[in-house]
Amino acid sequence: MKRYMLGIAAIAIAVFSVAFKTAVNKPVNSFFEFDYDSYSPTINNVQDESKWIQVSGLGTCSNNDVKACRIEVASTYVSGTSLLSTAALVAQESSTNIAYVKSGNTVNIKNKN
Amino acid sequence: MKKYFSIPAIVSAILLGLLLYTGISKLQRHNDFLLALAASPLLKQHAGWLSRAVPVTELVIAALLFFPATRQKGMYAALLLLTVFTGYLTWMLQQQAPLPCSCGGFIEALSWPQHLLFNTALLAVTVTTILLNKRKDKRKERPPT
Repeated sequence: MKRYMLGIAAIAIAVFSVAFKTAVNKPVNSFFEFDYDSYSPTINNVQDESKWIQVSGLGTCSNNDVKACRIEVASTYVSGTSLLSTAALVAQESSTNIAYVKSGNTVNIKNKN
Repeated sequence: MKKYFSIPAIVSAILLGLLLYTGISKLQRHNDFLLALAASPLLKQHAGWLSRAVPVTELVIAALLFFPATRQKGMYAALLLLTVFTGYLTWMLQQQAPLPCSCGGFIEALSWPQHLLFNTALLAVTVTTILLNKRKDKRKERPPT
């Protein structure tokens, strides 16, 4: 039994730590990035919620209102890894065929150069 | 003074706790881990299967470390996994890109250099423990004079 004692203690500590951390840090909001690889950032595309892909954070957008970059939304506007149309993104053109997110049901908006 | 626990037993318990903790954390927050892998230029092609394989591997190694009969094999497996993680970390640091880390649990709170230092220290401790175990095994094998 003594040979298993340390192992059992390690398992107990690990399991309790995970349980505690999960309760404290349960994620609430989700993050999305405009899918530049597949679409150009026109007003229609930026306002189309299906053209946004889920990412893990707000990242390093320059925060200049030229092109759409990333947004943070509450979990009520997310289904699986998709942004729902209820996020109601509103885009504005900064120059011909280049748009940024002006407003929407978002917690945070980060545009870029 | 009576020795309650050997150094290899203590080290394997630390590794067991750590691998179990990070493995469960990654499975619990699987979506975050998947997104972090998908954000990595090196791993994005394999993010899907890796997001499952990494935590499962960590839990299997934790199980190997729990049983005395498989502990040494578990130490070798942990050494291999730590080497891969440290190699990946070194590569990430060289990229100098603000890439997300979903390494599981408190390790996420570390900066990349701190993370590398932590992994290197663990690697050194694991190698030392394997060598100590080998020396102990050799002593057992030596015929009595």
